Amino acid sequence: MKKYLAYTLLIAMMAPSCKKDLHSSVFDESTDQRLNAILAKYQSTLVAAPYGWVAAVAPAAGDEVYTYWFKFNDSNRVSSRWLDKPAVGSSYRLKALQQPELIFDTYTYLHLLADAEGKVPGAKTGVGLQSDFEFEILSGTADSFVLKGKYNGIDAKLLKAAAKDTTGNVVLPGYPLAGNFKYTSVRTLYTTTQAAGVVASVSRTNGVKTAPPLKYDATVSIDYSDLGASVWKYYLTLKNITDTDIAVDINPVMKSGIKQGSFKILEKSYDPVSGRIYLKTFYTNSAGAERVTEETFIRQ
Amino acid sequence: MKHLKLFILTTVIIAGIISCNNKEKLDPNITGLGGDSWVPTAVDKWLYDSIVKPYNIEMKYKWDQSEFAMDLVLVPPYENTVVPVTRDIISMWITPYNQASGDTTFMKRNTPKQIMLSGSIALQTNGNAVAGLAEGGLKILLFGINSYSSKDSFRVADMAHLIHHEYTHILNQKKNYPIEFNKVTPDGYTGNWTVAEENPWTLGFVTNYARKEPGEDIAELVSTMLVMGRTRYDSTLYHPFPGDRQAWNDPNAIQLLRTKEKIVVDYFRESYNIDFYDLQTKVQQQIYKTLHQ
Repeated sequence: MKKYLAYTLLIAMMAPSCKKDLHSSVFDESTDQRLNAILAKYQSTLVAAPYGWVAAVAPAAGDEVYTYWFKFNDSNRVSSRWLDKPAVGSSYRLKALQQPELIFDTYTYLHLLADAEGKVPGAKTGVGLQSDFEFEILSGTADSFVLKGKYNGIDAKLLKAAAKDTTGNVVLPGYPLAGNFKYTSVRTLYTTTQAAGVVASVSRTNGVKTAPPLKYDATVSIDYSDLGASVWKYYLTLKNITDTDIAVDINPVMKSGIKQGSFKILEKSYDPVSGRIYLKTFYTNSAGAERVTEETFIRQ
Repeated sequence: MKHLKLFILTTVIIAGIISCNNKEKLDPNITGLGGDSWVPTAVDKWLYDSIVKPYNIEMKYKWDQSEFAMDLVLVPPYENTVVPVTRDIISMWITPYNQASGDTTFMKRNTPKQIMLSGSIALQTNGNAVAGLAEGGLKILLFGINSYSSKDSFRVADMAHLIHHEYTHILNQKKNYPIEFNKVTPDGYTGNWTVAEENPWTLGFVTNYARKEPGEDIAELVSTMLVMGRTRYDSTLYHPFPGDRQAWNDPNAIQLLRTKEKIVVDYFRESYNIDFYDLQTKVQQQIYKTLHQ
């Protein structure tokens, strides 16, 4: 029995020992060949989009998503647009580090978010918005690229743009409420309760407010009444432009600034035809006095 | 027999050669080998003609995180700041040294081989901002060039100060300055230089930063003397801070700074065969030209 075992073992050992090519890779091509091929593929895919790409960049600080438009060419140049600002040219390159990377290697609108000198609202000096301009490419197809920031690990994606994206405000798909609104707001400040009915003062404001897309699906934020300077904001969620059921909430800063759990929506409506949002809300401030806010937003 | 030996020998040699010819195919196309590459633009061509070819200095402006410390939050420069910054750096730094040393040989030999540019300033965790760094005699990092303007005399003077400061480090890294320099104001160096409230001139220093350590002291002294010019430096020596009358004509402070000045002048002559006062004049002329270009 032992003999058979020994013979079997011997034969088993001899069989693989004849195989010469032990060091060959499981892949047909070398690592570098495959890396070069994938970089070339990404490069040609980026360049091939006829109307460029709409980019969604979500810095680590804050909850906003910033939207850009990029058009890449095959000589390391990229044209960028942001909001309604004019297109500017800068450079980019694809580089193989631990992953294939897309690097925006000279300054453009994208770098304002990361700039430690604090170039956008909410950016802290020395830190910026903890954003990235050097991205690992997690996946890339003719329709979209999924990117991961190299240093702050932020999420970013590129979506193939349409002809309409090449001019005017840069718009991120999936956020029908993102954009500018004309607003009128009336905030009624009661000395004690609304029921007691003694009005301390009424704050009336109007003008234009911007609703940027947030990291949460289909949700935008917009300043709460006249308290934008205190970073009090509504969160408004609407999935499709034709929906009428708008979801309304307030941001954490406002939640922590009022009596806990006192925020109530008294009335809300959204008219998809005129783009008019009406909100009537209520809260009790930290001193116990009640406030009622009526605000109307009209899509510009 | 002789033929047989020859035959065997030839066979062995040929066999040897053939057996050695068992080449493994190397893949020459290694990604990233030879550094980054991109399609050169007008900026790249200008840099090549103006600073790479004549001085073998790489003016690196495209983002490369590996050039910077990881704890700094930085952004790359605007492309349109690269040429003005480089042009003014050449004008206020390389040209005066060329003039003072006679030709371009000195700078060809003694310049750092790379200048790395960052668009934003380097804000450190302790709140200080770093405008420049010099590393190992080979590399200078310049921060905050996005806000540079040739028309802003303060920014131009700052840039001149910065590049001369960093270059003094490079010169010191190549040839050490005399140890006597450290002994002039040994008690003045302090880790608390950022919050020091004394007038540094009264203690024998030209700036608060000079109080950090002797290496920074000599770099600050050299750059301050070069950028101020001899006349203004001499008058500042007697009347530092016009509002602070108590600091005027302080014989002790003047003596300390004059001692340091002499060490600097001797160091430039003995180590590099450069007349420091002549260099000072040339720097002044070039700063004037930069501001009036």
